[in-house]
Amino acid sequence: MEGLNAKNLGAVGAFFIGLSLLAGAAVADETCMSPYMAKIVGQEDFVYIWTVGIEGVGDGSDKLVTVDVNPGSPGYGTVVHSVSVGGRHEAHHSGLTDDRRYLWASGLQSNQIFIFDVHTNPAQPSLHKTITDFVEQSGGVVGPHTNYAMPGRMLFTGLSNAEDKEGRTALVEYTNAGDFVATYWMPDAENLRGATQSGEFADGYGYDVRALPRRNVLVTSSFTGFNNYMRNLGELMADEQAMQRFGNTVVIWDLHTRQPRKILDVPGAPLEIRCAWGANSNYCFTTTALTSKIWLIYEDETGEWQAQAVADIADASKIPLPVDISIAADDGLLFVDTWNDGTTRVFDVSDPFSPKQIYERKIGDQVNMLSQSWDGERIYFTSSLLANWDKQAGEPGELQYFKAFSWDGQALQPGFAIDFLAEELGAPHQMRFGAYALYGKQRPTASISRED
Amino acid sequence: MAYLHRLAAACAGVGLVLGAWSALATEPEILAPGYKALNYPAPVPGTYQLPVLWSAADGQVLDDSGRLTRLHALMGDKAVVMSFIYTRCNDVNGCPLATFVLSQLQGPISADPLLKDQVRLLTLSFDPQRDTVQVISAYGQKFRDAEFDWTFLTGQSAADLAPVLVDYDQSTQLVSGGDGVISHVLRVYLIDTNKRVRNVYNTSFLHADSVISDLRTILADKSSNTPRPED
Repeated sequence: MEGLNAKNLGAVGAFFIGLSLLAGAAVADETCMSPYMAKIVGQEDFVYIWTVGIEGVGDGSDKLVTVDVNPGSPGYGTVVHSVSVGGRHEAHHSGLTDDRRYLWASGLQSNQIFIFDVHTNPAQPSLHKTITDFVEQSGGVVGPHTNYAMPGRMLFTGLSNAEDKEGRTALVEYTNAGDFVATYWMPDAENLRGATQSGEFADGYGYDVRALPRRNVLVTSSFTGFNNYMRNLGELMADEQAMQRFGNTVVIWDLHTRQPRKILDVPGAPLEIRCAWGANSNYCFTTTALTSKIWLIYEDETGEWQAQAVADIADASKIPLPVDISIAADDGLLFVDTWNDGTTRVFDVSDPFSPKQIYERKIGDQVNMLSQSWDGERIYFTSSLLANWDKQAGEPGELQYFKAFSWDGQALQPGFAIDFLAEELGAPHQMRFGAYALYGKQRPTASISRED
Repeated sequence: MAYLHRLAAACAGVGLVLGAWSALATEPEILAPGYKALNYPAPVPGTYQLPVLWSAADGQVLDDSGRLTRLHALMGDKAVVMSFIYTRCNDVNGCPLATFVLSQLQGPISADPLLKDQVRLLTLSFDPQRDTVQVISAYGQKFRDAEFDWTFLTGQSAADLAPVLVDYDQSTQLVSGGDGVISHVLRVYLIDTNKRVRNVYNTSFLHADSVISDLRTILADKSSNTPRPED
């Protein structure tokens, strides 16, 4: 390894940590992705943004938008590529395979899954394959949400089911080649599937999934079904019965066997899950959308998994609606976006049982996803939540945007921003990072042009 | 732990993970779970399913005696644990981990009536240029118990092996300026008696106790011994 060091690799423009990366050995989260995945630990070159198509905006179709975020690149701060998938599918979440060669991106309405090749030309992802029979293959799961890398496989959470389109749903597994493997239904009151119901709820709902391999644990959260998430938000919130049909559970699974172990009460729609990286930090955070709390999901001293509300997020009575969260490099900070007030809040979670808010900043008229770099120095935000829930009016550049900030340890400092409406792209949702160095490539010296 | 000490010596000065190239060079060494006692109960054989992932591809390889053969011929009618490595791999949590865990399988397999003579270990180098038959053979002799069914393999050429790596979804990449370092995702495959991949293990997930549980599960599962119609 003589001669291989940060200095001479600097010419490549990014570093990546070894592909044998240990879950638990990492010192940062790089957007909270699967611990099974290779990580970019230096300057990322691109952010890939899975973007919701809006009728009358550009071609109106969902698309994968590539933004150049490397300050050393001539294309820095601009959209360098976008690839439309044709039609609107309720583009939502996306995830990279464990080898980071492919980006999977799913649609909550059409149930289609789009697999993009991001390794052949990291600056210009191309649509490699589309899975169109997710519902049939999975045995009736609807709403493929989290695209989560496992060794050689991708694990999906569903949000709903084809039978009644409410919240009962399942985990669905595919090979990296895009072949269906298995469906694992969530435990509910009618069929606990071997799990222990520890409290009041056993709803069978799903939303996010994260793995803690060192404890052989999968953690899933719960949102709501197709009937709710495809509905206009104002109408939905005025419908008391519909508002009862949100998830109230987190489920602890056996990672190896994919069998549910324990259902925990976490009332109020627990959404994103972020697990700590410390070698002995056996806990994860989630936030509840409807009750605006941070919950700690933790393994106690007896080896039992528990859930505990540990902090309030803003004023719950004003329905700030916590959405994406991101745990920082050393498990010391947790960024929490609240969609309704367009604000991000930073909590000191060095004592996970007692988070303390240390900072807040309004990002835009609405804010949903955030992704932070491996070193925690760069934070990116996007605005869109769901097509029928997004705000329809706002200040120019503040409604549907991608914004880049730097974090200096005390505060966010604004970088560049891209108005996705002015650029006729749509409503930006989940972000994933790309880098030439992942694939042994260097940035071409030729000028970069946008290709639609 | 003598093996571990040998690995540590081999890796001295090169850091733990490829990330040691970068700003993480000073990070303390953390060994993969596969080097230690499993810190949770191993799965109970037969209480869970291991769905078929994909058909294990065939391909032309050289065995450690220099004989040109094919993967399917080597798999025969056995359950197989197969690793992809290269012998110059200096990431202790990469290829050396795979070889260590496979070496740890030998004792339990030999001692288990269900597994004895039913399991075959294969280790295939994806660096045929440097891992000649002589090199891979010498490497294997360090780790294989006498008479144990563990064959070390290489290829005639990188071009010869390329389709095999594609079929097993094992991406590799020669690191530019890396003195022969090949970046890759560590993958070890569990293959049933009908040549179907039933599990894929990586660094965070690879442990001898888990592999033994999986071997017992697929060998006790009669459906594993019945070819699917399309097979």
